[in-house]
Amino acid sequence: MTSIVAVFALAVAGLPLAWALTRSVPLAVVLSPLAAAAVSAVAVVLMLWLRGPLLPWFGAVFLATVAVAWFARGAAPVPGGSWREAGLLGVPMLAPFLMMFQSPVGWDAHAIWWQHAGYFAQGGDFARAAIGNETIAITHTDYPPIASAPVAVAWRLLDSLTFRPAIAVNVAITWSAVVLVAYAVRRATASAPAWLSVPAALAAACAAWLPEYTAPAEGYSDTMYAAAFIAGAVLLLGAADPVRVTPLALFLVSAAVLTKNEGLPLAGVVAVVATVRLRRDPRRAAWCWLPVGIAAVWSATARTFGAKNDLMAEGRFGELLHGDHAAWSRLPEIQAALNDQVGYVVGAALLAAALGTFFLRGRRHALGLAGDGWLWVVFGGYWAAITFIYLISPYPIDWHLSTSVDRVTIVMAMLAGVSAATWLVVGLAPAPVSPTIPAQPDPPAPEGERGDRGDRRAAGAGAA
Amino acid sequence: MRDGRLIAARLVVALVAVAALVPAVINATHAAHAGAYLAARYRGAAGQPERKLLTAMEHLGEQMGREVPAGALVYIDEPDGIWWFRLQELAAMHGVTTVSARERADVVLRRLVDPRLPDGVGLELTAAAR
Repeated sequence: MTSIVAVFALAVAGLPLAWALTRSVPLAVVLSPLAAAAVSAVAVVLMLWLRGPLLPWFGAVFLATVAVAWFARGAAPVPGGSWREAGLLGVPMLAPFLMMFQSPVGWDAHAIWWQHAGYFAQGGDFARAAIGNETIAITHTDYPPIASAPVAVAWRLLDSLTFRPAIAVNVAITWSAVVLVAYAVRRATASAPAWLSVPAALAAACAAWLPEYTAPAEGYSDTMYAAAFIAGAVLLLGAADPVRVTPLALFLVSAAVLTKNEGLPLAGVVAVVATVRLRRDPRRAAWCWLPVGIAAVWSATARTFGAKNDLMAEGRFGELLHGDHAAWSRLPEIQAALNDQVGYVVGAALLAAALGTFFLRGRRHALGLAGDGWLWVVFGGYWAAITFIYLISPYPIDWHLSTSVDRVTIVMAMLAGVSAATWLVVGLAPAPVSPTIPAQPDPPAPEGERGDRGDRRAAGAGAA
Repeated sequence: MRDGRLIAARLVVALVAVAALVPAVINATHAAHAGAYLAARYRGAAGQPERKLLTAMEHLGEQMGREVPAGALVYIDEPDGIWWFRLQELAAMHGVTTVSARERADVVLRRLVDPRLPDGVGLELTAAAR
């Protein structure tokens, strides 16, 4: 019962921000757990800087989101915000999360995320001291707060420090992020019929259960951040109507960087890709760097209060730069471990993308789907970042891989799943009759839209 | 591209894409199936070892919050690495500050293992010798 109360309270708390970002009640319901997590995380950051107990800060940030929703009331809603769409994408994704009924004994859930939630729940002074406490530095006190902060809020609201509400809150947030992946793929393939686009979007979201089917519901944050990032990136770089979903997309990528440190290189790659693609719209391109700035704020906060990053403090940068054999000899083992986890799905998705690009590129453009080259650029950037982290890891590589590779590869599996889902739509969609492809030339579009839809339509016009 | 070749290319690309997505759908379906099984048996599984462990941890945390003097620095004397982490987690949850050196502590905390205790484990707190 406490779990239901905790999830309901957080969902209500997230509704104003979720509505401000979507202007759609059904989508706001889906987004509200993740929005509440963001509200909680901002409250934690303010609490760390300005001290005091957590709940008053949470209340203050909540009221601020109510004001944001008020100011956003006149904005156009994001597309695809009907109850039918939200239900088609959200309800099926509830079923795999029944795994939350496994006992929440996952190592990182306790040693990292709920430990951090514990000291956040004790208020600003205790949390500041805990972040800088060398005794628990091994629990990575520099990790960002989104996975922990809402659990701390739930514990304080319930006045009960137990683990069932903690897993319920974690699962609600992860479900929210995973459904947003399905929504993003649905928007990217919106010109295809729903009978094809919706199942493809759901299949892409199912990649969250690769490579480990228990991972999304065992209290970890890896699926949460991977899904939030991918949903944001797909909306930003692949949605059929990118301008209207840009605030939602930036929120999702920002949520990812506030969930795990690995979100930073991902957000950086997306910002670079978006800047190149939106070079004719510098204002919108500049906004794409917002998540990187938010990551910097958390990094500065954690370091100010004494948190240490194990890679920065003990990483083998020097050995790597000097070509030390011991550091570089890890490379084959790292690649073999990554291949074991996602080699098949990535290989198949790459093959579909390569064949599709060669044979069906014109058809893809005619259907109004953005290219997926950006997606593979992000994939490459993440692969390079993860490989680099393992190369400089201060830990024995066998141990480090065995304890983490099945989780860090969730991003890779989901990126591959998104690419495959879009090519599935391109392959099976009926002849292009997309309403997004006008029979007559467009009237002059705002500068920001020309680079996206204008180019795509021009390409579509020449497609066979 | 001629119609026949285009249809063949569409089918091949769709088939390869399906092949990429099938493992994901299978895993999610497996999670749903296993989760439904766990949910159906949840009420009757209170004696399951992992459930008992969580209950024991929650009770240890309550005891820690109740018995450790406010503001005391605590040294956790726990040789088992896994339990050391669990006790650190419970300390953070209940506002107990831990230190890494026994000589800086006000209180030393040990885990007692005793089958006669309700959860099989309890806490022993002793004043640290400075």
